Amino acid sequence: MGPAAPPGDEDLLEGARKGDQSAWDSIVARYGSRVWAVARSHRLGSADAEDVFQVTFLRLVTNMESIRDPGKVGAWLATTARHESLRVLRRAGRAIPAGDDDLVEGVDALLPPLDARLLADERHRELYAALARLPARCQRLLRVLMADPEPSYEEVSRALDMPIGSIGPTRGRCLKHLRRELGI
Amino acid sequence: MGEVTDAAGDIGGDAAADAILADLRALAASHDPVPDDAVAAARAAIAWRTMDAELAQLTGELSAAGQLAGTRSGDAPTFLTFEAPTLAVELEVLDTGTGRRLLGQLVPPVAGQVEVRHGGGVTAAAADEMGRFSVTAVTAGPVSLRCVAGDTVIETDWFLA
Repeated sequence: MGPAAPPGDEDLLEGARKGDQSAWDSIVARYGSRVWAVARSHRLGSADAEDVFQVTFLRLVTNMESIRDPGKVGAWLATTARHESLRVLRRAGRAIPAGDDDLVEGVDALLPPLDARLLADERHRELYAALARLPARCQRLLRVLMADPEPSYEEVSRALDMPIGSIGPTRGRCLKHLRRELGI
Repeated sequence: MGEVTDAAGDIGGDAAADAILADLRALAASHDPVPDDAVAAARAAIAWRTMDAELAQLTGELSAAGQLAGTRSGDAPTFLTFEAPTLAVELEVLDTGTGRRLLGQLVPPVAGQVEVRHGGGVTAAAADEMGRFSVTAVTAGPVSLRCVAGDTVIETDWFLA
């Protein structure tokens, strides 16, 4: 007999609703990277991103009852992380990322600053530098897609306020652009 | 699945794109993982779950940041409204430099008890007969208010103060 399948989102949400700590821990583990990626895609520094991360999961605790479809937890988290990220930006008087802006801001806060000691992997240095040369909208999209596990297109749509139908083509264009920057 | 080519005839481009994305994912995992303390704090969030309060959702938000001439954005107050079916809370959130100060009003105006749940713990305050309350030394970060007025118990959704 093989190993049991991992619990589905429905089981985890059911468990969390009953206050089960391990079910809740699994939800945080399953979605944490995606929530973090949404905050980072809005160029929030570590302190702000941690605040967004924490308030997003706290709001899941508070709003769990109203999420009728467990399959929607990811979309709910993506929407909430985006709203909280925008609040942080508004309060700091920072620009809200717009749809088609080509203003290249470098990798600023999408990822932590490049530290040569930590980024010993040559490949990662190349990727980091190439990412920095992409238009802002590509950086945002790719940062969200860099979560593990990869978000669904619905989650990406909620995270970045992009029409679902535009995600595939934009993903393709941005990755092609990145490959050109890498010279491959 | 057959090969996919785009307008430029980029055969195998999809596989290459997927490979790059996998590399990017590895970069994020090693260079920008979710901090351990953030994971720990998120795991602890389930401890705040209560079953006896109505949820007061955020229904109004006004941030004066950037709109008051001469102020740093951090100095401007934020006004929030949370509504549950039978009771609402209006809040003014002020940055004191070392934390936050909350000035609140229960609506309809009624006396009660308010507990502010925040990073520094739980701080209690009384709402006077006009429903007004004031709480200082609130830690900046996630905050939720639990308000008891007579038989009514509400908890506001969490927000970043």
